[in-house]
Amino acid sequence: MGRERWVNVRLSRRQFMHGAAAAGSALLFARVVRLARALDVPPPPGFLSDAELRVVDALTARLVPTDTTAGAHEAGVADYIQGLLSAFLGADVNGDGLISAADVTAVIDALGTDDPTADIDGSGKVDAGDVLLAQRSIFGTVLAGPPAFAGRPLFAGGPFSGRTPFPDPATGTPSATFPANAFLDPLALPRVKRLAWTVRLLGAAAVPEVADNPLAATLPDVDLRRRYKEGIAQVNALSAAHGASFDALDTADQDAVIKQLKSTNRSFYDLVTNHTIEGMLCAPEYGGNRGGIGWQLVGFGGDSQPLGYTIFNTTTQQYVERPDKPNSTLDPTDDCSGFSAAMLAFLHLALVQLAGAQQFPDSPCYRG
Amino acid sequence: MALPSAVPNVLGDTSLAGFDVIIIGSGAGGSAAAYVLTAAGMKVLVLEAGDNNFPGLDDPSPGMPIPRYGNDELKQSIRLWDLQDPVVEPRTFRTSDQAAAKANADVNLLCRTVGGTTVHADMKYPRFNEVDFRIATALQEAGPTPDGTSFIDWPLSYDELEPFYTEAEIITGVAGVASGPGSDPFASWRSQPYPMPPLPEMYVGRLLSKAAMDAGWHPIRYPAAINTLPYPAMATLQRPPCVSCGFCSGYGCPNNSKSSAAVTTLRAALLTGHCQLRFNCFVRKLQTDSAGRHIAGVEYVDPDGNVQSVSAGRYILAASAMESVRLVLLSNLSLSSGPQFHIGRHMLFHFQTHGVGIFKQRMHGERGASVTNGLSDFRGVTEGGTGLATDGRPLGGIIEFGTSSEPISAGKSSLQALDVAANIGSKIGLKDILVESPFHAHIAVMTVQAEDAPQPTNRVDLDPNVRDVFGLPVVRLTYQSNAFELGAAAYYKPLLIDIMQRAGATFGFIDPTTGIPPQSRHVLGGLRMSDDPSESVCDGFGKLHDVDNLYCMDGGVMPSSSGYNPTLTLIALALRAAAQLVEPAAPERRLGKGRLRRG
Repeated sequence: MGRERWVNVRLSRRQFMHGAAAAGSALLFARVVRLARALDVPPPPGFLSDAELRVVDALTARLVPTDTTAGAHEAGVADYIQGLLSAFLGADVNGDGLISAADVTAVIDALGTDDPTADIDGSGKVDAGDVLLAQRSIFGTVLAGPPAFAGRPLFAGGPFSGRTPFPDPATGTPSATFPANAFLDPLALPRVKRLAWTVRLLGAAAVPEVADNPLAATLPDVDLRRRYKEGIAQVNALSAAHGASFDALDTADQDAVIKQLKSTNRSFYDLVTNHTIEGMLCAPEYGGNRGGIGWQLVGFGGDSQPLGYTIFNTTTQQYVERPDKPNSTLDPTDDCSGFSAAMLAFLHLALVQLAGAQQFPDSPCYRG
Repeated sequence: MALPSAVPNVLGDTSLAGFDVIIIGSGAGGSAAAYVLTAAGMKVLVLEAGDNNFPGLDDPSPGMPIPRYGNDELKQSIRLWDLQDPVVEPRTFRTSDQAAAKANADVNLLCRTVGGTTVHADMKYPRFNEVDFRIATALQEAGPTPDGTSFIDWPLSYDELEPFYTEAEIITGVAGVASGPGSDPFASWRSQPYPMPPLPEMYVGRLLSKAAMDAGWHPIRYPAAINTLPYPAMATLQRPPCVSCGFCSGYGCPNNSKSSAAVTTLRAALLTGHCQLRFNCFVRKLQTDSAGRHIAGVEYVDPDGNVQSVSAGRYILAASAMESVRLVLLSNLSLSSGPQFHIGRHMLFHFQTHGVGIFKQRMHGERGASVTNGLSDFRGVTEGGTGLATDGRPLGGIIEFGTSSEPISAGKSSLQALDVAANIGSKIGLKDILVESPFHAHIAVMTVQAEDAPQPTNRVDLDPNVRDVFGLPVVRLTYQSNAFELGAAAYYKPLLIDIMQRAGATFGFIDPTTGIPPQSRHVLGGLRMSDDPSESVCDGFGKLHDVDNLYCMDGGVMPSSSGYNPTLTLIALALRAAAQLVEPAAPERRLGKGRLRRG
């Protein structure tokens, strides 16, 4: 994959206002350029700093801990979250590794062409809209750059990942031919989706068009970059009372911090929990579920196209099933042993006592 | 004509001009209409608010298109790739006119994509019953119906629609069993068998079918518009058989075996050369003449956010029931008192009840086409669907036998249970829930798609406060369940639990989280049809009373919901309405004219 791209997000409010007011104004453009030049610094690996990423890794590792089996750390949940937060992190048009005024110049030079690197909004042509995006990209007030980070797409392409082969049409069995991994190709977002993801990543204030939509400001999964920055800062503050950064605390202290976090900032706790589930079980191309480790952990088959589970034999015009993973019958390895005693006790309490469910006497397991 | 189109955001013949018909929406209804009209040589423009995820849809080469869909839960279920996103296009909800409406992230949001919600549906395509077309009369004969309901008979009979049902099954490609084991004893008469054999059964389908049979019911192989053979025969339109990948309900199909509107009727229409489709184009208004009784053009927001307008002789609403209603309300139509009163009213959703079982064994729901088996006994009709049941079964709905194929969504919905665990001092944590997976791998669900009684008070209008990203007032849904469907649900709930027990469940219960707002994606009504303008908005062919060139060909026209998945009926109605537009005196003469027929 190409260089990692970024834009400096640690701007003061004054710098932000200055930039926003200047954007789009030819008269003030020179000032934007001067200000932007002053911001040229080497790119970090993503939206979260290394130190912040360590906190997220340690935090998610307590939510899905590593014990005799893999947990959030092995699955790469922190990388997943970094990928989500870092999509559209900037438009490094000239490819010099920086998000800077030189990128604005590069877009201006490409005006009227269909140069894909300068066509920031993906409209098919380089126009004034791309110049504006390049300018605003410098200040982190707009989504710009690729809809992916470090090769991890915001929306993966299709149809196939290449994890399973094509079926052999003549025999209805797996062939030796595997498709290319199209999941690695990030999909470009049409204008309305792009506005939606601007709200999700940068908050409702960045999109005037959603001013009359209360959900844009109140849904739990909007304004993600700010929520993570502030949430991590809060975890750090709580950890300071225990004398170390969160990732350096022992697990008992970490759990105490998480308990405090849960009671004081439930929305951030819930956000991280939801992202942990996503990072455990998403397609590996998104950065989590590394090597399919999450799917393995929970016994999920993952994506199975183009092979699938019922394979059509064109000679006999009949379907055949995969003996190891049957479609219509019980899995041959399933011994119907059911749940652990602890889980059964929990289900009894939660379902029978609290939700009025019926519990039935044990009966033989139907094999199909 | 040059196909495929090389113009961004346009499919089909880009040189077409002077359109005969503009269709708003490329889903089941709009694409069926485009199919009929283009086969008759009419020049059709389709405007679609969503993106195109089928590159090559207008490429006549065999094997096309190559979908941008994959077996990818994050993309489709969590990040809402091709769904209406409430962050930019919200809706509001309230339970009565007196209550304050609140923005709600989940008011029956459908797909925003070329092909509409057929792209996401798992394509269960049963027909309605004969009795559904004269439901008001049948209910009246059976005794008093609960207060507040507004049933009317349909302006056509099952027999009149039957040839169009058959046409719809052939051109979309439906797999099922017409007679013998696995067929539906409550289905009404049919002139032809299904074009393809039924889907391969899933384990959970077999498990619940056996239990239902033990209880004396009549489980069926569920009819579905999913290929079980290479189909149709014509090479340019042929698609492969389903491989049971499990990512079906809620997912675009990676290998085109799912017979969505995109890869069937719409592709056939595009390949005629008489059809142009502009996508990422959101229609915001119908322009009218000064009297408000003739549509002069439509205004739409183009892919760059600029407003454009375009005109044609006739216009078809097919944006899905709620959005078609909204578009009419956003336009300056001058309707007489009947249609003006009924517009947006009698909204219908199917009243869903979920019987849940937690089992010792794993259901491996990622194998199979989401739902392959079901049951019509709880629909509450006689054999052949000619009348209401007389043995005490109330009007309910068909049941889908399903499980979970979405571990992320199931994990998230378990978080509430984790809170319960914490409160009762259980040591069960997130990892235990994910690994032991009681609410994903071990779950079986029976979903009843029960009749949702029409009520004038269940309605869509424009919200006075909330606007979408286009600056337009959004849909405000007012909805409250009636004693009609609540009573039927109460009757059938213990019978659902009984089937779960017979299947060997460890726990059986009714999902308590369903209800308000309704969760069903079967969005119907609001533009209901009748030959009597005092009780409806459209006539029996979807033409709006009072407006000389505006038609509705989506689920909006349905006066009642029946208790079966509605899409096949929606398509049959659209085929018939479009055929009538071509040949007013004898619409049935248009049957068999398109290239998907006998393809």
